Amino acid sequence: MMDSLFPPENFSLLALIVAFPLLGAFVNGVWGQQLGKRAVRFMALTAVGLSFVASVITFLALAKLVEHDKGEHVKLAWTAWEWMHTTGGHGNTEIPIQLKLSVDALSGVMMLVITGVGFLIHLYATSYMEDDPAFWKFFAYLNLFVFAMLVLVLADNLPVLFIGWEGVGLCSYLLIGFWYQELPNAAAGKKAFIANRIGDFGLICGMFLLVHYTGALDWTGIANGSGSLVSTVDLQRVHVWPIGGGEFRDIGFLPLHLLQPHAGNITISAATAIALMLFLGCTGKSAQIPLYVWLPDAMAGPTPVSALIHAATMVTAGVYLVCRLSFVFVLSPFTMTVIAITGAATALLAATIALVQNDIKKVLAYSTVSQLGFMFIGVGVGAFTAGFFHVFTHAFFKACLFLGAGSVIHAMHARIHDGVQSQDVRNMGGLRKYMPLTYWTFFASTLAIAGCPFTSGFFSKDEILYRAFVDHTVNPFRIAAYSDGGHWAAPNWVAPAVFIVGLLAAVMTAFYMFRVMFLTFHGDFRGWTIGRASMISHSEVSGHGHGEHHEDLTKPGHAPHESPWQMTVPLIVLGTCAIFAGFLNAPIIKIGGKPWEPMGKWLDPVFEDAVKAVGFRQPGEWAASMEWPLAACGISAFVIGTGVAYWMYIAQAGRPAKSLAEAMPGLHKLLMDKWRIDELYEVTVLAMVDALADTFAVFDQSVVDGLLPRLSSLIVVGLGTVLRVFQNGVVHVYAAFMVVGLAATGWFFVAPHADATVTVSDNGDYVVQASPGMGYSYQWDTNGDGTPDEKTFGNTQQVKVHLDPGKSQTVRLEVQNAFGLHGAKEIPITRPSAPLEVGQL
Amino acid sequence: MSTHTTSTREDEGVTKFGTRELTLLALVALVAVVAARFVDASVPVILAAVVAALVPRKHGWDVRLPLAVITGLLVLFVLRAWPASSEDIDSAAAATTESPKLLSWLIGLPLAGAAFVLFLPRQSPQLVRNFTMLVMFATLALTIPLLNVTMGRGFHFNQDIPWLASLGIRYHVAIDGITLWLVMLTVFLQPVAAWVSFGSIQTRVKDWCFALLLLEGAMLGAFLSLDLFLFYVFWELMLIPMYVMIGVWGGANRIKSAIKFFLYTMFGSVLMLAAILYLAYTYARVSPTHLPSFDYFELSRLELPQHVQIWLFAAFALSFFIKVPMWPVHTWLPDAHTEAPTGGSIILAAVMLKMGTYGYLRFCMGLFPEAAGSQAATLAGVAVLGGIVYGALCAWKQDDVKRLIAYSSVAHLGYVMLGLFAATPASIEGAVLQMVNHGISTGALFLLFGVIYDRRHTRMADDFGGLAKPMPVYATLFVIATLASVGLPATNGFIGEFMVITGTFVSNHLGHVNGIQAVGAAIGVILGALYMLSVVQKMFFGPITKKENEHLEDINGREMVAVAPLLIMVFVIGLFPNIFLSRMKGAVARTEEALSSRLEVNVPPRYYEGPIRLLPRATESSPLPADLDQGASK
Amino acid sequence: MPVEYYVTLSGILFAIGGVGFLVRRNVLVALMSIEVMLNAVNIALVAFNRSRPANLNGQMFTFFLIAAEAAEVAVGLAIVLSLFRIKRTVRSDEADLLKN
Repeated sequence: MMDSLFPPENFSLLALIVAFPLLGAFVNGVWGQQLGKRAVRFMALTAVGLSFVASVITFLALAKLVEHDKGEHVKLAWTAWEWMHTTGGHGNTEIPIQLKLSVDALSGVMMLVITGVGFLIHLYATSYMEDDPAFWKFFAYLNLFVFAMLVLVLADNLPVLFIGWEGVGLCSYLLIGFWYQELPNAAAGKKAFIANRIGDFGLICGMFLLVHYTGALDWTGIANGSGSLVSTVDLQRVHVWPIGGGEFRDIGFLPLHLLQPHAGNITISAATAIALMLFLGCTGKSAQIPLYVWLPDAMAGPTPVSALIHAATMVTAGVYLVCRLSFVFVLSPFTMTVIAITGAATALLAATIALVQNDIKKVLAYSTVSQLGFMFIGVGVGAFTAGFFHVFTHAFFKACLFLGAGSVIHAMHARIHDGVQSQDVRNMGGLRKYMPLTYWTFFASTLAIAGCPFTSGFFSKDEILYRAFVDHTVNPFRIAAYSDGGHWAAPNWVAPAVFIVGLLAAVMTAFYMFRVMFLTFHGDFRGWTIGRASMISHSEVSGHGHGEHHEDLTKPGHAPHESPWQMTVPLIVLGTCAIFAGFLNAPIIKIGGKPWEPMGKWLDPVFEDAVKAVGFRQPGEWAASMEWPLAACGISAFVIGTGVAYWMYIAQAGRPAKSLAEAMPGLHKLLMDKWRIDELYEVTVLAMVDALADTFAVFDQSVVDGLLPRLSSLIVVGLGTVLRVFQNGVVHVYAAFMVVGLAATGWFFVAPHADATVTVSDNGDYVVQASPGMGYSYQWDTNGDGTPDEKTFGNTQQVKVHLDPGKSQTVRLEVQNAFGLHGAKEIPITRPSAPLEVGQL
Repeated sequence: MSTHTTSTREDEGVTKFGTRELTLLALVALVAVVAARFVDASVPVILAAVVAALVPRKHGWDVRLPLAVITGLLVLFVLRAWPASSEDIDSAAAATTESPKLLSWLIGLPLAGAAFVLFLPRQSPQLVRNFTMLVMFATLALTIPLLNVTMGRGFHFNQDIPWLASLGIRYHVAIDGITLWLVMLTVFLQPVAAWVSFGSIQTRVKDWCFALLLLEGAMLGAFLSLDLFLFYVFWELMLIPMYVMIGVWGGANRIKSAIKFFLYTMFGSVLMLAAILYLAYTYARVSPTHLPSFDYFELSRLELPQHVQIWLFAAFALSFFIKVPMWPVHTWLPDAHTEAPTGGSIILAAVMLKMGTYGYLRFCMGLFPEAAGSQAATLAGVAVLGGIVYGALCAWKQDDVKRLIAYSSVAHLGYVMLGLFAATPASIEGAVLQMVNHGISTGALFLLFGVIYDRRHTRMADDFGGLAKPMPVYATLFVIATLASVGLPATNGFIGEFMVITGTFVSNHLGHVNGIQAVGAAIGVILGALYMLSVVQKMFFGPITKKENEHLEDINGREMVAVAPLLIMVFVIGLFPNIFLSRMKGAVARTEEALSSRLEVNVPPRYYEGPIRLLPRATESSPLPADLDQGASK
Repeated sequence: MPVEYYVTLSGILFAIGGVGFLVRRNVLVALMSIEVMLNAVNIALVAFNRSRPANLNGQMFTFFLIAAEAAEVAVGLAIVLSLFRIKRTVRSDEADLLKN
């Protein structure tokens, strides 16, 4: 029945999956105000819910198809219409670009996560945003985001993916700035959008490079054309210096030839260029160094947004893109190494910052950045399944953590009406007894993210670290057995270094997550009085209108309370997944000697091209033998991190932390200020662009707009002032000029003018034509011997002169006018060697 | 979390649709069903009805009806113009039903209307306004046959009659796939500009209408004429109404701006006139008939040596670059835009600037291919650095919003020029599409800013702030226009930029620098977001800083009706660009092949050396219907 | 009597008229000088016609000239009158309204 209704090549159910959230966004966005809260809630939930149902059906159909033809990389596709076209490839052929959706094993999983987790978060938000006046707008944006995210993962070619890619960026912009009346929120939104745009720049560059080298933009087309991406032929490589090839020559005094590299032009393979550019896009979307700075600020948005967009789905788009185009990335071992190192560096950097933050959402934000770093370590070392599996598990436990944090903030906010205060862990503590459900779910997902054995986080993270240690991306040139050129392979220290850094980050993760949990839920509640005073002044200065909360702030408010079911049910579901989802891919568990990894099996067809280029660093049983020792490292990381946290914040009740901070205030301050990376950017990149723009603006006003018009006007004015002098209005002066003019004219007629024009006649002779005058008579000396042809003056007005090519000769003309005055002229004529044609001269 | 939120509306509680809406919907559905029987495509009617139902409650039928009609017509346009299949578009069989007089009607109707306006009573401005709108809609209706023809590689609706035979001046108008969209843009935007201007302009309405109609006729003529003399006449005729518009209805120091605008453009065009005359009489020297000719196809047969061609190219190109405008002759544009009234700004940005780009595409690349080819790399550098990057950064630094939009035009047209210089099929198609896109998105931006300008009479971004609270609908529309101008995928801006950039990278006309130029163009994508989002944030977000802004009236019905077609077109082009690409594909291919073929025959520096001569008339080079081809060759 | 004498006379008269027009500041006198020049031309025309009596072009032109002089004098005097009304003077160097 399924097949008859939805054939694989025209699987129109995909359209429905995408259409439902869009419809929800449309209805809520346009009618949201007329429809009341209940209708909006109903609309939003049905939209995502139906989309989820459709996704499940699609997934089952896909699974059936996979069963049908084993090992093949099957996909269900649906084409809307031909969108546009471009030229590229070899011989600049036309490349049609379809609006096409397709789902395969990889995007199938993503689709389920997006709609499933998305639905839970929608449910959560219905209660979380209850009192917000712009309730309808929020859900319109949220549905729009789900739509864009689905387009991103279901796209069948890069431009369509780019729709979703920028669409999610837009929604994130709108939702971060959702409470746009506080300027910082709007600024954070702008920051996020522009940081993403820098990434999109990379994506665009990657697209046109792909268009040029592979002549395709859809996945299959790129896969087929990817062979031409690695080449040692100079023309098929990307010239880095001199840019685009060519050669530096001196201009005037500038010794530009010095810039010319001696040992030939510096070139990189097209694969490296493309992969690097695409990875730049990934760093923007997935908040990696150098573009990670926007994600912490993005916490200005409502907490469900942080959970859905900035933890579970959108930020993992970069990892998804690397997995999707894995067969391109593995062609460039250099880029793979760059990805792995970037991931490791980001993981460590973010973890260090998260150690000391006090804003609960900030901690989670940095932990997100750090976890994304882990994912990039995975895909960077060629363990695409592991990296993607971490995306999968992270979606659960990080969403759960954020929602738990949201529930806590919700509770805190009920008594401290202040955004900053109510998110500060120093004001919390002992919340376990007030909100047990939140506590247990938060605890579960903390275990998961910290990598407690047999939770989801343990399996995914451990797999990544294990592969990071043993894996090694084989140089494609070796595969293709090229004789020379481009022999770049990662040095041997990279793999261990990445592993150790990752391990360090893992320890820190365990520590800061448990720190937050202990500070929030254990000990006694510290929020009875803190923040009230600050709130009094705050509410007085800006009595922004939400009357239902204006109770007497001098009294201590009521105790924090557990959240309603709409908020706790998602927590429970996600918490459960956070614990058990790991068993979908636990290769470390052997069943009948074979590793237990259904997820890996499921994804194998997607990565089969890529993994060809990946091998173990040492042959034989070495890798297998390393499995348990490395797992032990992971477990010990968890134990150490947790233990230290327990010792510091439970056993010693936070005293060691204080003393440490006082011991090295500089470092502590630096960590609090997030290594001052933002400030660094402000004084370097932003300052440069700003200065450049200022220069241009001034230059435009002063030089371009000043010089051109002013110069020309100066000339005109000058001439005018000179000529004005003659216009003095006295009739006699005019008359005098008239007389002068008359005299001149008269003299012209009296004086003789000998002049002649030379043309070529049809037979190639030169015709010398004397110009006429009043009563003129002419005397010629054609052969140029000094003596005139006739003794007397005659009326022969034109003479013909024959010349051989290359010869030259002077014709002398003498005229006599009515007054008997004489004038003479000599006309030199030279015939060029080239044959003459009619109409020349 | 209501403590955070100080939002735009107080919550209305659970209010379902009132009986009013229900009856409305029922009525609309009835209309839809009835109309669906008469219109073969019922979709437009239903969608129109839906739109009519969607309009907020406070608006009456005076708003609902126009909006519904606009939607219905545009949807109908999409359905009818959707390319059925690619091959029947490639078959360049000119339809037999082409009436040669159609284009003359198209040009003549506005001009005649302008003349007629002079005889209408000045005392009843409403009559004059209605008449103007009537003429403009009639002109719009006249373009329907143009869409029904399958534009192939060739020219259509060719009319070619002697005008001043002794001077070889002819009245020669024809349309091809490239000019089709520019003409459509003109006739589409003129009513919008007129409609919105009628709200703000209350003095000298009659003169204003006269100027509008004259301008429309002149612009159509300039796009359609294939005789260089005729082109020049319309080109100059265009200046006067715009000069008057800026000078009479403009802002504080309008006179300065008007004169600046006039002098800049005039300077270029006199040089072009000299070049045109030189061409015509050079033709007379070498043609067997010894008669001058101003006909485009004839003159494009001239093969000129370098020292001649480079100067003629310079003369033409300078006048077009001033019009585009390209760095460093762009500074008239910000002044003109800041001072011009909203309607004038829309027309100036949306259509008049395209004269420059179109002129370069048709005349510079058509008449002087070698020069165009040899200068392409340098000029592309100017387009990227001086246009895309420099323009964007300057825009970022403007406090005056209209200046900012003007500089953003410089940046956007940098893309267009880059696409033309790159001269690959994709880049030229992208450039032509980008011309239309810029017309629509920038037109929408100017229109929308005019809305707030009418309320506050200031152009400084700092005088606003937090406008999203008092005018939410307006803020939404403005953000949509902004995103279109930033080039978000699925809006029109993305298609053009994407095609231009990819086309640039694969181009082989730019030497070895095509890569870096494509990258530079891509950087423009970042800068675009930078300046547009900055101004949006300044104007709409954050707390309300000024007292005057607290109780501003939201966008009213008339303005909404004016901006609706533009914002609909944003998505029409963004989602169905093939409607446009499929029709221009053939003509672009013709242009591109003509250029490349001329460039490939001679060795670098690619110029033909020797006495000026005429090339034989290739069958492809004069792509007219056979019976009319003789006319062009006289 | 040979034609040269007449031509010489007309030349002298023309020169007198020209110099008078240039040097005298009184507009009336300037007008008179113009008359003198025109009459010099008349003399020359008539004289040449007498020496070449094939047709009467010269004398015909003379009549034209006389008519022109009459008209010109009328206009000139009118201008002088209005000038006098405006500036209470007939000195041409004080009448420089055209200046700049």
